Amino acid sequence: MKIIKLHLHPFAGTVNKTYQFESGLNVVYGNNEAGKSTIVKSLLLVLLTPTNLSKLDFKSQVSSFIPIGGDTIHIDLLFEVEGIMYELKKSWGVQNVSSLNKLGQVGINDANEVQAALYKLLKLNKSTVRDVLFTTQAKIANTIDAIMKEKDAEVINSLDQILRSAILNTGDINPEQVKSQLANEFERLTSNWLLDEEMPVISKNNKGSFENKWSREVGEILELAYEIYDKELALENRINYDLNYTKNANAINDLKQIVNVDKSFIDNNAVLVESLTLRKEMSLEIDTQLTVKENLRTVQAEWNAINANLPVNKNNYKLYNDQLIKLREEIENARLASDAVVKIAQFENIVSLKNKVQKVQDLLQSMQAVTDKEVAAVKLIYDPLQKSKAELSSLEAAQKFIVNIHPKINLEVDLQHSSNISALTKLTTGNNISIEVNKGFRYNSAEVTIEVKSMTDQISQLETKIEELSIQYQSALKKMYVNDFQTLLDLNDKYNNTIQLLNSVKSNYESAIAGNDFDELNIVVNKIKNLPKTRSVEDLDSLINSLIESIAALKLLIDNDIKKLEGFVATHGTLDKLDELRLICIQNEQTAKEKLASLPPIDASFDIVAFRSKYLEAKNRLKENDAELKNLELERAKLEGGQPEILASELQDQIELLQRQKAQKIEEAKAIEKVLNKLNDILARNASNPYQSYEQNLSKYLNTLSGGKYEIMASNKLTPDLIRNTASNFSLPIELLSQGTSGVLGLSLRFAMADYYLAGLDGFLVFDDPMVDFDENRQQLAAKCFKEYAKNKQVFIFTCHQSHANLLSENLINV
Amino acid sequence: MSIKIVHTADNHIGISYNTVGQAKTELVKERLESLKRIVDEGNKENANYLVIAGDLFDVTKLNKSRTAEVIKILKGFKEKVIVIPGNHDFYIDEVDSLWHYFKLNVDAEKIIVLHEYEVYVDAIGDQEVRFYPAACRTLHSQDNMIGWVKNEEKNPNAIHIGIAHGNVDGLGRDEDGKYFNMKAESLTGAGVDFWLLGHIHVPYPTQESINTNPGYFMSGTHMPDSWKSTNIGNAWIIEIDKSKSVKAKKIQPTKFRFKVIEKELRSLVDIDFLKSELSSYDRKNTAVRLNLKGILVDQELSVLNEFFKECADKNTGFLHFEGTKFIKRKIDEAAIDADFAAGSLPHILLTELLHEDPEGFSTQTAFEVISKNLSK
Repeated sequence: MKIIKLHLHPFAGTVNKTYQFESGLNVVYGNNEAGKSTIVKSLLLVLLTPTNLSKLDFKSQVSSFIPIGGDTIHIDLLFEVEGIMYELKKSWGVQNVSSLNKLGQVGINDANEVQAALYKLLKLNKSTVRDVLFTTQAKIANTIDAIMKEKDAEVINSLDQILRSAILNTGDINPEQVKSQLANEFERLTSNWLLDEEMPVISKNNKGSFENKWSREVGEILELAYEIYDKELALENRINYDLNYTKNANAINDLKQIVNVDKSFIDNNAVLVESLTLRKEMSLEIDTQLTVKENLRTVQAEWNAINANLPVNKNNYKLYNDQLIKLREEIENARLASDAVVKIAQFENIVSLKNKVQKVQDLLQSMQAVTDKEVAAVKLIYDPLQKSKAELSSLEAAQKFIVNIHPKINLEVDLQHSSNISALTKLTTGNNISIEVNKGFRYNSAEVTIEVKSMTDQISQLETKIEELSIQYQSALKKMYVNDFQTLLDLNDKYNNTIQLLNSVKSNYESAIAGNDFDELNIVVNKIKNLPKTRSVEDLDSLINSLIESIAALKLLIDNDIKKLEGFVATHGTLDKLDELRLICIQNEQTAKEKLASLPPIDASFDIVAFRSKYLEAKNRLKENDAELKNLELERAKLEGGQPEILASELQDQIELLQRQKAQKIEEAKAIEKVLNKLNDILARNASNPYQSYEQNLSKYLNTLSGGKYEIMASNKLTPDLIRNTASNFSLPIELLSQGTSGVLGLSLRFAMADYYLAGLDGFLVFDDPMVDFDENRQQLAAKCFKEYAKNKQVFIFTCHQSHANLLSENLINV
Repeated sequence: MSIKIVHTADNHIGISYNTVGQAKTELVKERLESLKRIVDEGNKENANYLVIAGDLFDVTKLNKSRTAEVIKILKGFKEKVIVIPGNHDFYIDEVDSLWHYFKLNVDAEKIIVLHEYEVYVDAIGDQEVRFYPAACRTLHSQDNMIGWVKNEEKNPNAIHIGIAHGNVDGLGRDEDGKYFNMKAESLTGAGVDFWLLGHIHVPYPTQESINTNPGYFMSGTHMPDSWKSTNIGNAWIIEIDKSKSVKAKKIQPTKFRFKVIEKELRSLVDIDFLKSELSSYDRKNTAVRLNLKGILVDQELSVLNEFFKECADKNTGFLHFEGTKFIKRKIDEAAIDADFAAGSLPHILLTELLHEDPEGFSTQTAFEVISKNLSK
């Protein structure tokens, strides 16, 4: 398509203006706001936007172009395709009109048809026109980003298709698109389903398994498999329910049969059982009465016996006790009699000792009591008197001569003692000697001092003293009725001896009587002397023991009888009452016998014991089975409460249908898989690189635009990963390129893509200020490139830069 | 004088026909009505007995209104009705149970439920007729209930008829032998003139009428009851005279049928066969399940779709119409040549697929996706 003429009347700020364009390069120059963008926008709108827009689309796509005060926009476009001129008119606003016609001919007016015809004439889809043919300044720098991030998948796919068609006749289909559609379809069917293994994809934590299902990304096959699984579970559940219910019903019915048999056995024998029970009761009653009667008889006999024996026993008891007392007395006497001789002898000894004491006491009474004290008192006078007398005597003797010898040297003295013994005494110096001399002495040495003493005074004193003492002495003796001291001493001796004797005798007596009272002893002894005659202690002991035993036995007997008697009275009252009771027994027995006789007779051959055991067995079994039946019925109620709603047959039917559907889906999936494999297979067979020429072309543009600095490194895709610096041979990742180089690469990509899109077509390219980011050198290179490109295709360049316009300087359109 | 008996069984009153969608109400109703038709036919034939050989009801659970409906129908029979409980409606000896309610609401002289294993003696004129019932007391049982019959003393002048419910070896397809299995020789050796049996839902003997005594009759169900029962509903009218000669004929109490059709369609001829098969059925009385597979050209497919519409039409179509359809558009070499240039990718792909997988659906799948892409 070649744009010839554009008429805006009005559009946005343009009221009515016509622009004429040339086949080659068209440079539209003007200041900002002069209307360059208006031309670009009106071209896009008239080519790509139908006039039958919804209100919402109108608002978002068109309303901003309605001039202030106006209500409609009109765009007319004259263009040429393959040598034929077409007239396109579109209006939006109050009137929404489309018309397309070959010049001078009748055309079409339907908005949709006009739009479809436009695309046919363009031979490109909407996005290719919008994104490849029209390039704004911003778009150039963003070209790589947009393509890399696959924002513009449609452009890529269509370009891919173009590239592939170049090496393989794709027959107007896009293999990538077909592949992706098939893959999507396959995924929709088989997501999380393993087609070959016929099972779900199960992750480690068991997610995805039938028990632990995914809630997302479940493909149709898996969904059906899950559904089948659920139904199969329900079916199993249903079958189990049916089985359990049957089992329970079987058990109930079996049990009921047994219960019914037992019940009817029990019911049928009810009368018999009653009569047997009565029969047993009556027999028991008769037995009981017999026993009671027998007991009464025994009691009566015993009671009578006790009544007869008790008084006799009581009497005997008394007698025995009396006998015991007597025996005890006798044994006492016997014991006393057994040591009578000794006791009498002892007693006589005591009497004799007693008499002795009396005699000594009598003697003492008759004596003058001269005590030691009294003697001592006299002695106190007597002794000094005697002493004084003796002293006097000796003094009188001594008065004759007393020599005191004191030797000055060693010498011998020849002494003549009063005792007439002559002694030669050897004296040593200093050794004094005093000698009573009554006969005289002789000495041999002058070296002796001799002293003689007179004792006359002393003798006189002594004589006075003796006189005084003698008076005292005589007075004392007088008091004691004696004449001399010796007599007093004799009296004292006599007195002391008697007292000593008394004490001795008394002591003997006391030891003999041993603390007993003499009078009592006297009585006892007198008694012993008069004891009656007894049996031996041993005989009596034995008699007493046997009597005690008899008494104890008798006492026991009496106590028992009394206790029994009390019991009888408590139970029966009086002895006479027993007869009445026995009479009642006889009556009861009679009644029972009559009842027994009135019961229906039992056949002799009837085995009551066996029947009873069978009957009881049935009764117990019935009780147990009734309880069991209740349990089973409860179980049944529980089962019925949980009865699944759907029948097994219905579930089977549903499962069958689901399986059919699943099999169908699997077949579909397998078919898709086959197609995909085949498609890949065919594409692989045509393995030459479809991107090769494209990449060479792209590299050529980059090399030209960068002044030979860069070239593309092949990466077999639409957007290169790296470019190479031809001088340094360094590779640069495209993310790291400068703004200017990015722009150059973007422009190269657009030229390279356009080469393919517009191949064989009358096409056009629109650039809005494409050289803004370029330095002067690059601007010149780009201008050269634009001019070169414009030789074959129509090129529109909009710019506000005079220098850019000058560089391009062809068909300058001022706005 | 001969005795005439209407013999039915497996009536399963109470089944809900849940697998036939909206037609279920109508079928539930038809099931009762076809039972009534048996009664009416018996009256018309002046039959002496209507014998129901088990499974009159579908379950043992009492549904009073349903039971009352059945009673009302049976009361329409002029003579005696003799019923034995089957394995589905086995006898439960309880107040408020199905059979208690049933017995309470019928005249015990006219509608007789034989659930005990003892002879029921009756007479038509001077002809003594003895029935030997072998009712079920459970849903499943390894043992049959007919053992006692053999030991009963048989008066040679009386007519002896056994009634039992269970499978007969070689007749039904009894899984695990759990349905009161009876051996043919046990039946014929029991000393009765013949047995009236129920359980397998299929009639025996297979002939429409017979003039010999087969020893035992299976009535079959009186109306098809599920997609599995492709047979027609049946009941016997059996006549036996003093000399014990027997003749019998089948009656069809209902026109209703289930039809399950599995077909692979590859041509217009196949479709025509299908159409003619379906057109032989009474649409108002047939539930159809079609499971179709195949490969057809567009034109054939549209013929089929048109026919489907017709079958499913509420007014003129089948009583119930359902199924699965897995039909692909037929692609052959000519079709490929017509649409795609030789040597182009679609042409290569389709041709190779057609050769490698001529029976499969891969060519069709590929064709569909390519067409979708072209139209874009």
